Amino acid sequence: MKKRIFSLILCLPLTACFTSNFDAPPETSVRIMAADEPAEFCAEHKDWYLLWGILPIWRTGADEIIVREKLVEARVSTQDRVSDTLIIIGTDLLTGFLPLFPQTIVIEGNRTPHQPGNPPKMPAMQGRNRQSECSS
Amino acid sequence: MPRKQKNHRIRHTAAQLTLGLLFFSLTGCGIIHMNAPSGSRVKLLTNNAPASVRVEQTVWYKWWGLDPINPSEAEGGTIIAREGLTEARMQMTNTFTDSLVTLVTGIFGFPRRTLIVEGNRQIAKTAVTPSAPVAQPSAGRQ
Repeated sequence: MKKRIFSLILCLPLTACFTSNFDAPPETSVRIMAADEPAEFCAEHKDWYLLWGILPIWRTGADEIIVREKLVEARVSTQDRVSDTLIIIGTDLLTGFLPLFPQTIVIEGNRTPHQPGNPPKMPAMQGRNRQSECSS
Repeated sequence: MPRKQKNHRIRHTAAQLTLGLLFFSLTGCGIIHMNAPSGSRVKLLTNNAPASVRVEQTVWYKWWGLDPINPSEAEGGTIIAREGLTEARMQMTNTFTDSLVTLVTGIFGFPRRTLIVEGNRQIAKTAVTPSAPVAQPSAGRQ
């Protein structure tokens, strides 16, 4: 019985509270893209949290990427993937129950406004951490 | 190997597998799309711009986060269309309540997240004017 209670206590730290924002940088005009619109830019990164989400240790805001890439229209998806889960469990066990919490963020957008019927050219993706999600 | 010892070993392995599965289920997966409805022109609001509408939507997933139970709930565009917003900002959050609830429902494969959409039904003329929408529920966000 003691073992079971101990196991449940060990599981408690595996959930976390964190937030990802999708907002515009100051003094810019950015349009939110629909899911079915083509995007010339796609980047994927991970935000990292410690202490069950209380302490963000590495976070890149969507607004920073919008400014850096000069996007005029964008959309974002947040993804908690199996790989993220494995990182949580792995770091939890390695560090003695102080897991790292990653969350995958995918940002897509265009540097020039998309005109219906005139899809933007699709050059090589220029995101730093391009992975399968961006290339699909 | 004696039978008793073998049984003990099987039980031990089963316990480890169960614990691993439990660990896995408690974190859960899930995707949230922060986008606009098709064919719309919705402006993205800045972090501190006033917003008169705030909608919090709980998104439930099945199969440990593989699919949302209602796919439209995981799309910000659904809320924007329903509320008729012309400008908006969005937030995906895993609240303390989500974490507590997922501790129980996650075991059975049903984690949850929260999608927050804030915005206005007509574009605010200036950033700060007395006639600008009053509600600023997003103040103090991370």
